[in-house]
Formats: sequence, structure tokens, C-alpha cells
Amino acid sequence: MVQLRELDVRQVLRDGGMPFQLIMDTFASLDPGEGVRLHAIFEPVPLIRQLEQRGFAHVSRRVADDDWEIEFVPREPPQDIQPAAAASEAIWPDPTWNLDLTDLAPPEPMERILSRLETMSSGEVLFALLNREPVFLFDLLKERGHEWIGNFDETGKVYRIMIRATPSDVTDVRT
Amino acid sequence: MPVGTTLSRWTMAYFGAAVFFLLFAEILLAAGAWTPSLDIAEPHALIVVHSVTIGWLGLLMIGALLQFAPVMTGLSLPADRIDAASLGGLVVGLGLLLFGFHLIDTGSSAAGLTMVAASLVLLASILSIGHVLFVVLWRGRAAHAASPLVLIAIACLIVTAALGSLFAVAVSGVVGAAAVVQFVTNAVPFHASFGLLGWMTFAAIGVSYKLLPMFLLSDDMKRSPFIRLTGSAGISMLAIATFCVMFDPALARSIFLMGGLVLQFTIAAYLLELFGTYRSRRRKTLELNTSGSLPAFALLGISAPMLVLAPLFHAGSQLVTAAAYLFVFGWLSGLGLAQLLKIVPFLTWIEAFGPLLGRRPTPRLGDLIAGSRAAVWLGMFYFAVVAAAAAIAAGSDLGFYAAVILQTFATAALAVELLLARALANVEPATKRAPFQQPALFFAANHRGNANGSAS
Repeated sequence: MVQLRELDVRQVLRDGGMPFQLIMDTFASLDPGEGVRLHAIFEPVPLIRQLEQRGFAHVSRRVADDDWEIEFVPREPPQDIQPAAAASEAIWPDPTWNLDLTDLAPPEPMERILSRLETMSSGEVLFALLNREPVFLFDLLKERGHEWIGNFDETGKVYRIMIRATPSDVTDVRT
Repeated sequence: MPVGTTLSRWTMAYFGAAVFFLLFAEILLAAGAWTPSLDIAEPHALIVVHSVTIGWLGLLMIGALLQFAPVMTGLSLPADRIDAASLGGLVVGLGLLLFGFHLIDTGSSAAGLTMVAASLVLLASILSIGHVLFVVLWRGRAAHAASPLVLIAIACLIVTAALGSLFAVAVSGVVGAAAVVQFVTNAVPFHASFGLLGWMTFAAIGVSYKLLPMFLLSDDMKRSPFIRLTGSAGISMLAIATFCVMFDPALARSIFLMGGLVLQFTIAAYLLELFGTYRSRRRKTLELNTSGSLPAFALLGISAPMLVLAPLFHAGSQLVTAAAYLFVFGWLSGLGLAQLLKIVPFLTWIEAFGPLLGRRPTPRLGDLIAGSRAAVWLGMFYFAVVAAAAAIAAGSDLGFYAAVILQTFATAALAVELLLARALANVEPATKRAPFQQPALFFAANHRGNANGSAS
């Protein structure tokens, strides 16, 4: 079973944004044998062609007129998968979730991030783009024991945050 | 890791006291404590004026800054307990001041002592809380363009309070020196300008600089250097004029009016900036706080020039009073009420549901307040304010009386909506099942340690 990483660019596209770089960065950061489930508002034919050339097979599925799910799976099964234990604790894994929340007003980004974190397994990482520093979110992350790093991008307009989900047992023994 | 902002423990208490004093002042007006045919310097008029300025607007701004100074700077405020002590001092000091005005009216011999006590308590409270806010905003002045604007505001707050204390002492008769009495007679417009323009307007501009782009999803506002420069220049001219009053009142008046003209550029730049911010917003539908602030901005644009032009052209005092009414109730109070309709539900939502987010269904922020009802009350409030100002300009006691009753009713209705939002009365009972901590009405639970921690 191929691991699929979720990437949702629907909101970016709706607002006239260009998610191409985000998509390419996601593909560049894939582990061997990992694929991507892309959510878009149309079938991105040129992108699919380009990724086919890079060795990804695809399955497109139309959920609604403006809601497409495209699964990209690497064609050649990788020969040597590194054992998971080799990954150091100090190095965060690549994000399993990429959320673009730049077009949501407070407190929606906070709602989305916390809801997503609750569905994630321990050690998984979420990456999110926001339009502000989420000052009220930090305290809630701290209370739930999640770790995070974040900063503004070069333009100073987009705040980037990476959050590593807590081991679930820590969540249960909140004092 | 970046540090977060905790909920300010006493902000809701400041807001509660603020709304109480607004209603108190409006009820006095509705009861006929002041009418357009009376002088604004009457002791009873001064009770209304100070209930509105210190009680409503002052407590509102300080309460808001206790929450937003940390948001703006990314720093935390020191010594939490000073918030409650300062609130107590401000309420007691204001109570003494209002009682002092009443005693002056009745000719009581205790008036002098009461006024001195009032000014001491008020000055001490304002200095202590002003100091806390100033230090945090100064340390974090580079973090956001809004911080320097609020710093100007707090400096003006201190000047206003100092002048006010001088007045209180002079009025009390404790200090009988002719020079002081002469200064006080001429310096009333400076006290009012430092308070309404310097302190409250700059605080409102500063806070809106941070809040509006956040809720409108637009880029940060850009004109803050111009606003800061012209603002400091205008305020400095007011300060020089205040100093000049001591030896040349005519010169002081000219400098004062020039300072007022300079501040028109500040306000014009701010309004232009707002126009751009609203136009470039990425969130197309306006919410109650952003749409409900629009009349306030319009009334700022109308009343601020009126305040300078009316004395410049020696217009009657009625026009100046009408302009001041629009400025205080239309601009400052309108903006304050519109923002409260967002801030109170927002802080309540974070406190009540923040710890539960993602773990079970939680109500949406908009569910906390009955938006369409509140919009009607806010619209009614603005209508009543404009009608009251028109009645003052026309010298119609009856028109003013009718408008003020409507304004009081609208304010009371808004206060009820805020109370319902804070009490979470509008959300589904199912969303409040255990584990759930109902927020206390007038203070926030401590979010350090336990998210839904004890409210004691």
C-alpha cells in the first residue's frame, strides 16, 4: 500500500493563487514510495502530464464540478525502503498535512489546525500557511503538548508553522 | 518557539464597568441632566462628560489594551494583579469625582476635599496602569506599527489626567492662587483635546491598525509613519499651546488651532488608509464589527474638521458641542461598541471552546452573538447619535431628549446582547456538556496550566 500525502490547494486556486510551487515542493520532499492525493477545483492536465514524465501514475476522480481528487502514485515500487526506526527523533518527518489557511479570518485557522491535529498520529507533522501570527493558538498547542516552529516568510505577509503532533498518551493525561 | 498570548484576566471586568458608565451617562441625559440650552460647564453636565470619557471610553480602551498590547508586541504584561487594583481605583476615583461635581452643584463644603481625593485616586490609578501598558508597548515598539501610535495615546492620557487633577484641585478651592485659577479657566479645551484626540483617538487608531486588517484579511496598513509624524507634531503643538496659556492666551489659541489643523492631516491619512484596507480586503462579506465601524469612521471624518473649523470661524458654541457629541458618541463610542460586538464573543469563544477544539463539535464564533439583532441596535444607536447632535446644533431640547432616550435604549439592548454572548446563552446547550467550563461573566479563567482551569 502506497503512503499518500494529502495536499489541498482548493482554497489557493479559488482565490486566484498559484499553488504550483507548493505542489512541486511537496513532490520534491516525498519519501521513496510515497505518493500524493491532490485536492483541486479542476483537473490540472498540464501538471498531470509533467508528473507522469517524472514517474507518477495518476487516477483522477471528480467529486463535484469544482472538486477533484487526483492520486499520484510512483510507478516503480522503491527497492530499498529505509526502516522507520532509522529516522532520528530530532529530525521531524516531512509534513503529512499541508494546509493553506491564508484566506481564513480568525479564529478559523486555529479551528482547522486543532481539528486536524486531533486526527493525526503521534510524531506526524502538519505544515500550515497563515496570514497572521496565531498568537492565541500557541497557548492551546502548549496545553495539548504539541511542539511547533514558525516564522514569517520573506515578504512578512505569510506566517509558516510546522506542528508535530503529541504522542496520544500525553493528550490523555492533561492535568 | 514563539510565545503565545494568554487571555487578559480582567478585560471583561473593564468592559463591564465601561458599559455600565455609558448607560449611566445616557440615563442621566435621558433624565434631563443636561439639555442643549444649558452650558456644558455645568456640574451636572460634567458628571455626564466624565462618566462617558473616563468611565466608558477610558475603561474600554484600557481593558482592550490589556488584551491587545500583548497581541501587538508579542510580550506579556507584568504583574497581573495591578489590572484589578487599577480598575478598582479608576471606578472609586471616578465615583468620587462625580460625587464631587454633585457637591459643587449643591454648594457643599465637602466638595473641595472630595475633588482632591478623586484626583489623587484617579491619577494614581491611571499612572500605574498607564505605566504597565507604556513599558510593554515601548519594549515591543518595533513589533507592529500600531505600538508607537498607542504610545502617543498613553502619553496623552497622562497629560490629560495631570491637567484634570490640576482642575480638580483648583475647582475645589484648596489652591486659591490666581495664576492657577487663570490657567485652569483657559486650559479646558486642552484637557479635552488631549483626552479625546490624543488619548482616545490615537488608542482607537492604534488598536484598529492591528484589528481591522486581521478581520478583513487585508495587508497591514502602510501609512503609519505619516500618521505617527503628523500626530506627534499636532500633539506637540497642543502641548506648546498648553504651556503658552500661562502667559499669552491669544498666542496659545493660535498654536492650538494650528495643532488642530495638523491633526486633520493625521485623521485624513487614517481615513484614506481605512478606505484602502476595506477595498483591498480578501474577505468579501463584512461582519458586524467591520461594517458597524463604517459609520464611526464617517462620523470621525465629519466631526473632526468641524471641531477645528467651528472655533476658527467663530461659529456658535452649539455647533462645537454638536461636533463634540458626534466625535464622542459617533466616532469613539460607535467604534467601541462595534468592536465589542466582536471582541467579547471572540475572547469568550477562545476561553470556553479553545480547549475543546477538534475534540468534539464546537459552536462557530458567529453563533455566540445574535448578529442581526445587534446590527439593528447598533444602527439605532448611530441614528440616535446623529439625531441628538442635530438637535444640539438646532438648539432643540425636545429633539435632543427624544434622541437620547432612543440612544439609551439602543445601548441597553447592545449591553444585553453582549451579556448574552458572554453567558453563551445563544449557543446550543449540547455544546456545553461536560467537560466544559462556563466562563465567568467579568473575568477570564487562567489558561496557564489547565486549559479549562479553575476560575477562582
